[in-house]
Amino acid sequence: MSWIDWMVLGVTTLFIVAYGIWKSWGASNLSDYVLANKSMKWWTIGLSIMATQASAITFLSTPGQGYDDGMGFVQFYFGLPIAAVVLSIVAIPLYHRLKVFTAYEFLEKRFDLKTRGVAAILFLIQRGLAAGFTIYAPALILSTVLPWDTTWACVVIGVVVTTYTVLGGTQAVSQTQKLQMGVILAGMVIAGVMLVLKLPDNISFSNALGIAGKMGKMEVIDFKFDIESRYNVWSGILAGTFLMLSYFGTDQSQVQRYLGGKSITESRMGLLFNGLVKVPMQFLILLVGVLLFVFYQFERPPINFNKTSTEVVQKSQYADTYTQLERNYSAIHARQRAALQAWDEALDNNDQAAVEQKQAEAQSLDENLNDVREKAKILIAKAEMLEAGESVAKYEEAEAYLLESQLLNNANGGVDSVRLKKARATMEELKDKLKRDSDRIFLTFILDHLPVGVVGLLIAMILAASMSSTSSELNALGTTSVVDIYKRMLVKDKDDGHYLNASKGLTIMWGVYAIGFSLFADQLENLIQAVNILGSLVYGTILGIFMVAFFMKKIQGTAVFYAAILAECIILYMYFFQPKALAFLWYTPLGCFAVMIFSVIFQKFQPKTEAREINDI
Amino acid sequence: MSKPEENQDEELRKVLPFFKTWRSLYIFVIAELVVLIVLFYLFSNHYA
Repeated sequence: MSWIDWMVLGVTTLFIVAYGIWKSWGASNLSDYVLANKSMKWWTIGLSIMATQASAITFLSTPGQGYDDGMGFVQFYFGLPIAAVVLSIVAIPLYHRLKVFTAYEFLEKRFDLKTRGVAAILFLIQRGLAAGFTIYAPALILSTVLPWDTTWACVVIGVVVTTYTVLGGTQAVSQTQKLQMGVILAGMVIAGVMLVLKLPDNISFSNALGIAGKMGKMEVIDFKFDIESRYNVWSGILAGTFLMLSYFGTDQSQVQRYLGGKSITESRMGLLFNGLVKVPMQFLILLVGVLLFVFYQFERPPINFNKTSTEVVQKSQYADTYTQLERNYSAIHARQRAALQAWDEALDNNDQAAVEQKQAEAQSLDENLNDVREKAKILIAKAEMLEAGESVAKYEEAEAYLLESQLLNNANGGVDSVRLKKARATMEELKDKLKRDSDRIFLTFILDHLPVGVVGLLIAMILAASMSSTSSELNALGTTSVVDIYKRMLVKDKDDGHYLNASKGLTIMWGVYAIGFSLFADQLENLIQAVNILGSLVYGTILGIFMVAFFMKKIQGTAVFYAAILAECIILYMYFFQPKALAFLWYTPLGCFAVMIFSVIFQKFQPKTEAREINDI
Repeated sequence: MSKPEENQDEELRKVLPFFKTWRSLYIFVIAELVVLIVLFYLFSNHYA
């Protein structure tokens, strides 16, 4: 990065942080600190909700997802507008009327303390881990840009975010998020426009989308109902609605955003604003990923987008093999570029036969490129294992036998089928360990192809996104720890100043915890999916508790408490022992329905008491 | 319609005069989703 980029990055980031602290200075009691004294207007709430959800992961991983898998991921968000409407009708008026600080406080009013406790603890575990991911994502960027490793980058980012969140509380979080969303939206628009401008002169925007379509990247909508498929219309609308209801209705990092609203109207409009703009926004971010894919059809991309991993393999015993793979990759890429150019010309000339021939050629070459990329990833995995002091002998042996069996097959026989099966299984095991590099595709494009100044702004955009979601998370974790656990269960009847200080102290503690977890985040799969999977494991249970609270008037605390414990055990069993049985999006409705059904069953064994309904509290 | 809901509608009209009731705003949000799904479907068919 040039000094101009550094200046843009530094000035933008410092201005946002300073503005947030200035606007929020002087919170004198817990209500000011946690709910921003209920003074927020709807546009601040709306942008704050968007900024909380749209983390750096969104802007790093989503274009990568578009590049690798196409546009289908947008279906994941179809449940959001539906959830926004349901929550505006049911939850927001209730939370406002009860004047709660956290969503879990409502559960004690409706049920009992232990149910409030279990929901708060599930939230703290899940959101604490997710905060680690949201710190890791920008740390990944800084470690590519700066001569730092990811560990130090995690520590520096974590400390900056924790500092302004602790100093200014909810007000600082929301005020910074307004500016952060401005930078984010400007950055994405600039990135999209630059990508289109960087396409070859003879490739129009429409032709670029045509190329992406022929390469299987433009299947936005899939109406086929398949419970094992991660993204289709039905999983988005049905399962997605449950996930979004849970996220926006019961996750304190979101609930706290609209609890700070001046009135029910301001809170509702903030949430509905997000319901209106989120799906188109995700569509456009994925489209940037698809355009990146087209751009890299004409500009030779690195064989692997993870520069650190590439350096490891280049210093290993596999360096020569890797160089050979790079040469093959370049040769195939050049042929594919020529095929696509010819396809584009044939399209302009209306030569249908040539269109079909060149399209088939380009698709076949694309498969070859993917094969080479996978071979490179296998080399990288082995090189990284060697660097970590692990043995790769069994993988070498399996690879050698697979090669030998091919030769034996060609010579008509002599293949040991048991050994062949074992070798294939060993290689599958290695492939499961391969790191996805899609999180770094967008970043590589920014650093390698954009002009001075714009690079700094886009890095500032990704940092802003990360800081905005992390600050909401730390803010909510600190609030829940104090309001639902510390003040309610551990240290009661102290003055307001004591709880204000406790809130700041616990926010610092969560910051340290999130930084610690972020140091291990690179061991996990593609970032955005990891966060979503993590959410799906607990959101169903929490949502189930709230659904019972809202809609099942006769169910009382003890029944719903045990139902929640049993439902969570089932979800964890499904994930760890039956992972292929169900796509992760379905864990939320499964957990939710399990809590509701078990609550009804357990209630039958409870002594009959006077029901405490919503209208009574 | 209950009194509190009427008050809420009144408050909404002060901010967004073209929506008479909250119900009409909710319908608008869901209708946008339906329109987007249809547009995405046409978009997929055109390019895929």
